[in-house]
Amino acid sequence: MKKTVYFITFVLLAAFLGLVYYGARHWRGMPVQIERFETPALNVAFMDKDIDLAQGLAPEVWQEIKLQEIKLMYQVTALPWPKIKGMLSAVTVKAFHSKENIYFYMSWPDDTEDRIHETTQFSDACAIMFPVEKDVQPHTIMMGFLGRVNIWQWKGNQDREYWQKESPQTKAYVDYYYPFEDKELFPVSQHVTKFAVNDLLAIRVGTITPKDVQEVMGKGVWENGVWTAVFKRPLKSLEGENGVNFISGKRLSALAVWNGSKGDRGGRKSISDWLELNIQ
Amino acid sequence: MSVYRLPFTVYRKIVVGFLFLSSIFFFLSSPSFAAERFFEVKAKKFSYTPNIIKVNKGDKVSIRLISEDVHHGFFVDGYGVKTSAHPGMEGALSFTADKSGRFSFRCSVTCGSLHPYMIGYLYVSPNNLWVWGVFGVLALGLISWLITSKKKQKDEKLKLFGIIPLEWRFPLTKFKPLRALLKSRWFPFLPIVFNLFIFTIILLAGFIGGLGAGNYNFGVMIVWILWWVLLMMFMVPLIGRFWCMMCPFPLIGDWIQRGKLINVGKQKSWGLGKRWPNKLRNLWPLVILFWVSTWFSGFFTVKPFATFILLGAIILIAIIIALFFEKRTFCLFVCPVSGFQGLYANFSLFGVRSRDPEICKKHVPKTCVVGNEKGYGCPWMELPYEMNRNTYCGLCFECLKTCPYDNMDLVLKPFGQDLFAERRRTDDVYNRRSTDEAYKALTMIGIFLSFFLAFQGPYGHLRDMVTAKTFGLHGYLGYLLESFTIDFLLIPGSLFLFAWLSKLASRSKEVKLKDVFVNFSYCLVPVGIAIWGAFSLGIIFPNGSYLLHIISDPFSWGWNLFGTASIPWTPFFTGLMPYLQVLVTLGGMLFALDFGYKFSQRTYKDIGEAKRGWIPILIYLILIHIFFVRIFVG
Amino acid sequence: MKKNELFAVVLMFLATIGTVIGIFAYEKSRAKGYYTVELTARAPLNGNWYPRKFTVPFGQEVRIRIRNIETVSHGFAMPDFNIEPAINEIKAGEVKEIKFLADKKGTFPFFCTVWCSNEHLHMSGEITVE
Repeated sequence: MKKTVYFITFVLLAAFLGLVYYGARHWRGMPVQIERFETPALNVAFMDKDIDLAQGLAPEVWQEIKLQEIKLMYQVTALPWPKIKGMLSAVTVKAFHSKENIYFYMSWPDDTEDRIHETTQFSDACAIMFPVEKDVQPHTIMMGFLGRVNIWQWKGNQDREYWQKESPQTKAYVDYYYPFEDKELFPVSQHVTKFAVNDLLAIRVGTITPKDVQEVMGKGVWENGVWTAVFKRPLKSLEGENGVNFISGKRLSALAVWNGSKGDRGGRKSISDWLELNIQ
Repeated sequence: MSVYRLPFTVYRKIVVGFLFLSSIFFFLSSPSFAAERFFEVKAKKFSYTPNIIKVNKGDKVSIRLISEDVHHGFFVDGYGVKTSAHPGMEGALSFTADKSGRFSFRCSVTCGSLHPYMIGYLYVSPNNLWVWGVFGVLALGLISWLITSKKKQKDEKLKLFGIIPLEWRFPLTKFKPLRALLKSRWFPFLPIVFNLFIFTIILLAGFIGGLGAGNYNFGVMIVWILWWVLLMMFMVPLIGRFWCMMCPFPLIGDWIQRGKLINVGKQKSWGLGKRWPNKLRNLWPLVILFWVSTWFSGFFTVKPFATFILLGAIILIAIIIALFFEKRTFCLFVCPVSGFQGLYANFSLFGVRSRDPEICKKHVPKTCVVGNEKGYGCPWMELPYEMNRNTYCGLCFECLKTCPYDNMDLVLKPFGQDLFAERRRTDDVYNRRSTDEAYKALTMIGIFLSFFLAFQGPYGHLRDMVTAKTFGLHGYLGYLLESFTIDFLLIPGSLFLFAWLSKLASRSKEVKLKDVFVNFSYCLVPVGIAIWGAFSLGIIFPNGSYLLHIISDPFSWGWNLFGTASIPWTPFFTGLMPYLQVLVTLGGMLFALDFGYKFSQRTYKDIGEAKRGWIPILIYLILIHIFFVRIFVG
Repeated sequence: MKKNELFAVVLMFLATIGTVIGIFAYEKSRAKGYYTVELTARAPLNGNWYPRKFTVPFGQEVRIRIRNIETVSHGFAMPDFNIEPAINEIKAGEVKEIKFLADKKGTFPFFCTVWCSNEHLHMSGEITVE
C-alpha cells in the first residue's frame, strides 16, 4: 500500500506542476517572442561650420553627415483619422553642432507643397521636441506632460511669410490642439510672427504657449516631392537654466511632421518615438 | 480610601461631568468659514499624490486629476462624484464638501492588478464620527467599570450581559425536518458538490485568467470578495465552522480514504493512516501556516493565476495529507482557514452537542467515535459525546447519523458559550485554552492591521512592499519583517504588558502570568470577529458590483450569461460604510468587555482580585478600540 | 443503496469534468456564424497583439473579437476600413466585437489608441486581405 500511496502522490504532484507550468507559459496569452525596444540614437558631432539660412539650407554641409531614418506613426489617440493610405511614414534626420550653434536637418516625402494656413487649407510643418528636465516619463512624448517640453515647430506658411516676405493670405487660421478637437471651426486670429519657427513650451496637452524669447531660426525648401527643413539655434539658451541647453552628453528628443494636404493640423500629426541625441 | 467604597452619587457625577465635557469638545470642533480649495492630484499605480486631502465642511473643492502612467479614475466615497484621466488628458472634478468625516477616494478605472485597492483619504473636518466613536468607546468602558466595580461577589452563574445564562442551549434538532435533513447521507454532500462545481469554475477562471485583471475574474472575485466577506461577516460569527461543513476540499481525500462517496464503507481509512504528531496537535501549525499564506496576499488576492496556484496547492495538499494521515488531519491541522474558523467558532450561536450525558455513559461502544453502518466515526477525531467546544468540530454531522439513540443535537446557544467551557476529563492534548489559541487570536489582529493599512489605506509604498515591487528591506523583506514584528511581537507584547499590569493590580500571589495572558486573550475573539467584519464591509461595499459582472462573464471571454455583464462598477453604501464600521467595532467591544470581566473572575481567586485585575485589561480594551476606531474613521 | 453511490459519483463528475467540458463547448459555439478572428490585446512588452499579422479572405464580412487580457485599457483602430461599432477604449478584461467588410486587397495596419504602457507607440499589427 505504501508504494501505491507514494505513486499516487507523485502523479498528483507531477500533474499539478505540469498544469502550473503550462498556465505560467500562457499567463499572458499565447507566448510569443518579445521584441527588444531600443531608443534610436542620433549623433550630434562637432563640425566647425556655420550655416547662414538666408543663403540656403547648405546641402553640401549636410551631405557629409550620415543620415538616420526615424519611423513616424500617425497620432491615433484622437479621432477622426484621415482617410489616407499609410499611417506609417518615415523622416530622415541629421544633426551637428558648431560649438556656437546647433543644427538639425529633417527631410520627408510630401506630394504637395502646402504653404497656406487658414480655416480650410493647412500648411505643412515639422517639429522637434526636447524635454526641458533630464528625467522624463515615456508618455511625456504625447505633447509633454508632467515635465515641460520645448518644441521647435517650423511651419510652411510662416516660412513663406518670413523668408519670402509675403504677407499672410488670410487674417484667421485654425490650429486646434486638445481639447478643442470637436470644435473644428474655432478660428484663432493670426499673430504677427517674427520667425519661420515657433519656439514653444508645453507642459501638458492644451498648454502650448510661445516662449517670451524666440531663439530658433529655421528654413524649409520643397523640391520634387521632398521637404527639407533645417533648424538653427545657439547651443546655450538665452533663458539660461530655464531653457534647453545642449551640453555634451545624451538628451532625448522627438519628431513630428504635418502634411497639410491631408488635413494635418494641431494635434493631428505623425509622431516619432524618443530619439536619443548623443551630443559630442 | 478605595474607589469601590465611594457612594453611587459620585459615579453619577463622574458620568454627567464626562458627558458635559465631551459635548463641549464636540462643540469646539465646529466648522469654520467655507473656502474654495483646489488640489492637483497625481495618480500613479497604485496611489495618489497627495494621498491625504484635508478640507473643511462647506468648502468648494476642485480637483485636477493627472495620470502619471495609465488611465486612472477618481471616485469619492460618500459623495459619489467621479472623474478620470488618461495620461496627457487631465480630469476635473468639483463638489461642495457638505458632509463631514473621512472619505476614501478610490480609482474608478481598472489600471492594474491592485486597482481596487488604489485609495487615498479625504478628511472633511470636523470629523464628528471619529469623536463620537471615541466617545462611544470611552462610554462603554466607563459603563463596564461602573457595573463591575459594584460587584460584591463572583457571579454564580455566568450570564451574557447579565441577561442570558451562558449555559443555555436550545436543541434545534427538536424539529423533525431538521433532524431528518442532518441525518440524511445526502447532507452535507449536496452543498459540498455544489461548492465543488463553483470551485471548478474558480480554478478554471484562475487558470485562464493568467495575469489579467483580478476584478473581472470569477476566481478572484468569488473567493476574495464574496466568500471571504460571507465567511467573516456571517458564517463564522453566527454559525461557526459553517464553511467547513460544505467545503469541497476534503471530498476527494474522503473518497479515497473511505472508498465510497456517499454510502458507508470501511471505517478504517485507506492510505497510510498515520497519526498527526502529538507536538503538532494544536493550533500552532495553523498560526504559522496562515501567517505564511499572508506573505503572498499581494499576489493571490489580485492575480487570477496566483489564486489558481493557491487553491490548487491547497487541494493537492488536502489529497496528499488524506493519503498519508488519518481522516480529516488536513482540516484539523493543515488547512490555513481552519485556525481562525476553529477559534472564532467558539463565539458562534450553533454547535453540535450531546443531549443526555447519562445515555452516553451507558453506551458502549460509542458509535459516534467508532462509527457503524449508518455513518463514520467522527472524522475530526473529536469525542462527540462529551464535546463542549466548537474548535475542532467541522459540522459534518456524522455523529447525528451514527447515534442509535438520536442523542446528538444541533443546538442554539448564546454567543461565547464555548469560550467558557471547562476542560474535559478525557481532553486530548490540543483541546484546552492555551498559548496556541491565544496567539491565533493575537495574530489575527496583527494580520488585520497589515491588510487594512495596505489594502484599504492611502499608503502606496505599503502596496509596493506587499506586491514585492522591490525585494530589499524597503520592499518585500521589509513587509515580511514588519508583519512578523507586529503579529508575533508587538501585539502579543502589548497584551503581555497589560496582563502583567493586571496581575500586579490584582495583588494576587498564586496566579500564573501565563494564565492571565491566555485567558484574557480570549477577549480578543469578539474583537477579531468585529474588526474583520468591519474590514469586510470595506471590501464588499465598494467592490460588490464586480460580482454582478463576473457571474455573467466569468472568464472575460465576452459572455453575458445573465445579462449583467455590462453593469458598470457601482459602489454602494459608501457613505454609510464608516458608520457601520464604527458600530461593528463597538459591538465587538461590548462582547469583549462582557467576556473580559468573566475571564477575570475565572483567573483570579476572589472577587477583590478579579475586580482589581480587570482594570488594566479594561484600559487595554479601551485603548485598542480607540486605535481601531481611528483606523476606520480617524 | 448502490444506486445512491452511483448517483453521487455521477453528480461529482458532472460538477467537475462536466462543467469544464460545458464551458469550452459553449465558448466554441459562440464562434459560429461569421468569419471570426480572435485577437488578443497586450502591451508590446507582454507580446503585443496576438496574432500580430493575420490574413482574411477578400470580400468576407469579418468579425474580430478583441480580448484585452491585461490590467490596463487598450484601444483599437484600423483606419483603412469602416469598423462597426466604433471603439474608443477596450477596458481591462473586456472583449469587444467589431465587424467590417474586407473590401480592399492588400496589407493594412491596425493600432492601439489608448496609452497603455511605455511602448504604446509600438503596439501595432498587420491585417492582410487576399
